[in-house]
Amino acid sequence: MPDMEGKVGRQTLDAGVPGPIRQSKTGDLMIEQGGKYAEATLAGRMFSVANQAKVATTAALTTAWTGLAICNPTGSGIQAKISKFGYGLQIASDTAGAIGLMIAATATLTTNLLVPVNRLTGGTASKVLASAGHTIATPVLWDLVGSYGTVAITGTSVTFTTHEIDGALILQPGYTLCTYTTLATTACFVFSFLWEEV
Amino acid sequence: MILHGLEGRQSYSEGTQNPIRLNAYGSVMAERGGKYAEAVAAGRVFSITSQAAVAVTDALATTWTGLGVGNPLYSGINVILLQFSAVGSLAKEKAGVIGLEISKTSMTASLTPVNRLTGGAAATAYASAGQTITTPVLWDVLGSYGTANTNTVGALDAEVYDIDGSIVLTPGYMVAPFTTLDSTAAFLFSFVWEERAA
Repeated sequence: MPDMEGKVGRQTLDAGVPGPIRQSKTGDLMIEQGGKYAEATLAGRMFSVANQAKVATTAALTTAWTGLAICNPTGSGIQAKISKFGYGLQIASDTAGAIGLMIAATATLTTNLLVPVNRLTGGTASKVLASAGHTIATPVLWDLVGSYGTVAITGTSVTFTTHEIDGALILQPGYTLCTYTTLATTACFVFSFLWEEV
Repeated sequence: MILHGLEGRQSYSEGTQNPIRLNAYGSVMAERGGKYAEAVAAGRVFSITSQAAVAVTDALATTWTGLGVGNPLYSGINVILLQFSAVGSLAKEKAGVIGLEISKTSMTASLTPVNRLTGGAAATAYASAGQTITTPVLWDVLGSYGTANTNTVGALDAEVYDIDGSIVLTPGYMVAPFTTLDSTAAFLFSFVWEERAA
């Protein structure tokens, strides 16, 4: 029965040439970690989209929805593994409530379209569609991310509000991921999504 | 084929080949540590930080100021972005959304990045606090900023965003902070990135 062997110390291996796995002096397997999305980004599989200006949002599970959505269209041949969600208030909101993510069985987006970008600059186009407003099938609230209120944002210094989904949501073909706010807001929010296509 | 390791901490010498370490449950033991440590030890990680408060331009302005990192044309490398941070050191004039924008611009060098392995080789990427750029696109929404002076708040959490390799600048592109509205010098920014051969 073969041992799983390594070699102690940093190696100098050429592309395409088999070599021993690196191990430490205590026998541990050495793992190159780095940025956890770096390999997928270098392979051109990571994409994102952001509203380019503040957007109004609709209340809760409204089907005449606005905000930011991404859709994995039927027949795309891919799955969209959702990695991150970001949001910010550009001005004070006129209502208060919860902010979250919801899913609708909506198979395409055709209005208020936005263009996703490949996170490897200059990379190939995404197969996912994005929109700032579309009629959707009745959605279901999946994730709660935080709250929003009507306090003026001028009272803050700098506040980051990003959510690490970390692949805990996979969008199959025929489904749409949308932003959720409990109550409708006039244009005050800006949103972004980051995902991997496999 | 069944792979075998060796249970328990070993004491191997540099350059020798040995069984990989297992724990008592048969799991492979891996040396992890800081996820960027191997790349830093290899001299591939760099950073740049504003050395004094900088003024920022509004939204997608092409007469841009702030802090940017660029991968120059024909550099032969990819710039894998790892972290971004933003703090207010003074009261800012205006409030809005903060994020990251990308521009297809070959940056002109004006600031000096540092190698995170102290004494390491110079970066290939360029950094600047302002130049004319091609119209950028907002990629990541990170949060909000307000006009509060730091003397009106207590200690704040570090506003550090783990980009985690999810943006790769190929040659001829740059990244910069996005702020909805302009401000006189009040922000400090920093970026951390890894450079790998393209």
